Amino acid sequence: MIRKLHNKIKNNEIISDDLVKEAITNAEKSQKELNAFVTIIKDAKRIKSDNLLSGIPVAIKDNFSTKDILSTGSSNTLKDYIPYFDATAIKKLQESGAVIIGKTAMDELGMGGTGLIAATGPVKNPWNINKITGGSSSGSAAAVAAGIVPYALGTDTGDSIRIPAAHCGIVGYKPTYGLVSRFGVFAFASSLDTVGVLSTSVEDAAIVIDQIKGKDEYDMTSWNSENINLLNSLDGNVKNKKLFYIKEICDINNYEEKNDEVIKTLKEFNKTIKKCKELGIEIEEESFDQKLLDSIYPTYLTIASAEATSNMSNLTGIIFGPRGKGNTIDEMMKDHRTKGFSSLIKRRFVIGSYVLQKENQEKYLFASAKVRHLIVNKMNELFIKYDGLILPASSEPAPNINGIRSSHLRTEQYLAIANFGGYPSITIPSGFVNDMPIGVNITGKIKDDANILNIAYTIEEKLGYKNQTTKGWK
Amino acid sequence: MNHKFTNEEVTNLADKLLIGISEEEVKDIVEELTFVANSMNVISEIKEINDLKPLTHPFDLYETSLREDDEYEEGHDIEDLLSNADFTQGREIEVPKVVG
Repeated sequence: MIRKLHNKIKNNEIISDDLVKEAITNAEKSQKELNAFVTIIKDAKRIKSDNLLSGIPVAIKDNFSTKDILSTGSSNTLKDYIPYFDATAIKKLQESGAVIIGKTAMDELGMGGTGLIAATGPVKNPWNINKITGGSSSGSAAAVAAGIVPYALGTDTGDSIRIPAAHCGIVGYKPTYGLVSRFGVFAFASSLDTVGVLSTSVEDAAIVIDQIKGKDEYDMTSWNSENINLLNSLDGNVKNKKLFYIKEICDINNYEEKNDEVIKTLKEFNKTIKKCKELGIEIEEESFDQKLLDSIYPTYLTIASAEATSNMSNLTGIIFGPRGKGNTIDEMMKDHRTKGFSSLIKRRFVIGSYVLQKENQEKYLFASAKVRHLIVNKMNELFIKYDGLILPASSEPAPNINGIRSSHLRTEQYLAIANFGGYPSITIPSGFVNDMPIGVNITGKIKDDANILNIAYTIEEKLGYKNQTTKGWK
Repeated sequence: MNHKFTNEEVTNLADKLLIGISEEEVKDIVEELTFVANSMNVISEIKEINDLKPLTHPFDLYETSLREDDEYEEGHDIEDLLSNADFTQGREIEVPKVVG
């Protein structure tokens, strides 16, 4: 899509200003039904360049600092916050000539996986506005799926790019940890947070990350990736590639709720596996200890909550954010935080605080970090034999907004494996169940992004959902 | 035997974080903390973790180097730093008096 638009601009078949204007108009029109944007930038400007992204509109998740543009993280604690600097990824996008037309709604501060916990209200799925988008990169996913922008930036701490991509029938790519600088992104759980992209093709995802990746002196966890060119690595050759899937995740007998949607999603996954084999990819089954799989969610919850509690202690309403009422600083901060945070954020903070108490660290935090180590060791061993892990991105399509239950949030956390180990991981659309899109996810070893993207690119061609959008919203 | 979380314990934890919580929120937090505690019991049965160290970052390959002493960066403008504060006075953020 991006290359096509670039060529059309270059050959004067379309004018960038018209493209940008159309995206802004569509964003505005979509708001009533999709509610994907926190801010729409009507006077979006750009620097002209020869870059593939030049003149093409993009939307940005609202947890990226954007100079002079409201950046709220979809939290009332930051409802008026206007950064005076750009995040590194934003700076690099702007240098390419990309045109930022809006900031997208998200689950507050990146926590939550539904798209229902944004200060500006629920984000709706363009395929069916009664369904959730998934989260936390909810608005970014909705905007891309509805065809408003060809791509959007997101962040992924547990599955926050890859689940909404699956629920909205698009591509969601979380690169290796540190491939893209986190400088200027609101920190949630620093050891898991990753900047990535939502797009309608693997090629587009490669183009975007090629542009924004690189070592950044402001992020010590970023690394030199000059030897990696993702776009040039997409050659469609998957000869001798080997993937595995985890038996327990793909076996219907292991699901408490064997409902129609789970059964169909797993059936579709088996069809995808068959098609991958037709491409010449070797696929084998590996078994995981069920206890270890059951530990993924509590491990994620413990680590992420602990890191979030610490990172977000700066949200006080004193040096930024709306000032709370009170006679003392403590009273002001308490008023600001009590009114500003949603119930989910409060819950996470209290859990984080509990596991960080000295007497609880060994039993909770360190035990979780040891489980993380065990899972990463097991994955690293498997990655000696295999190029990657292939899984259904979610065990069912997007649930109804009114049908969200807490158990749903607990069962869908297998993708956090990629955050535990910093692995590159990509979701691509793989079909439909009951008229809603589903996706397949591929995760590979660290810094092997080029290989994983090429495998996804090849599978994407075979499956036939490339450049898929709803062309509006239903 | 699992630790039984009480409303008072949860309210105290929230208080330390300078967060006020409603009765409904207390109930939800007790439920989720109980889930976490029960899960930790399952985790403690995974024997292989006993020999492992906690993993606090995905991988240890960070390239860092010390800058040269003569390199420095311009500071931020004070106006920028204060631009998001609701109450300021000159070059400072205004808060209630905290010392006698």
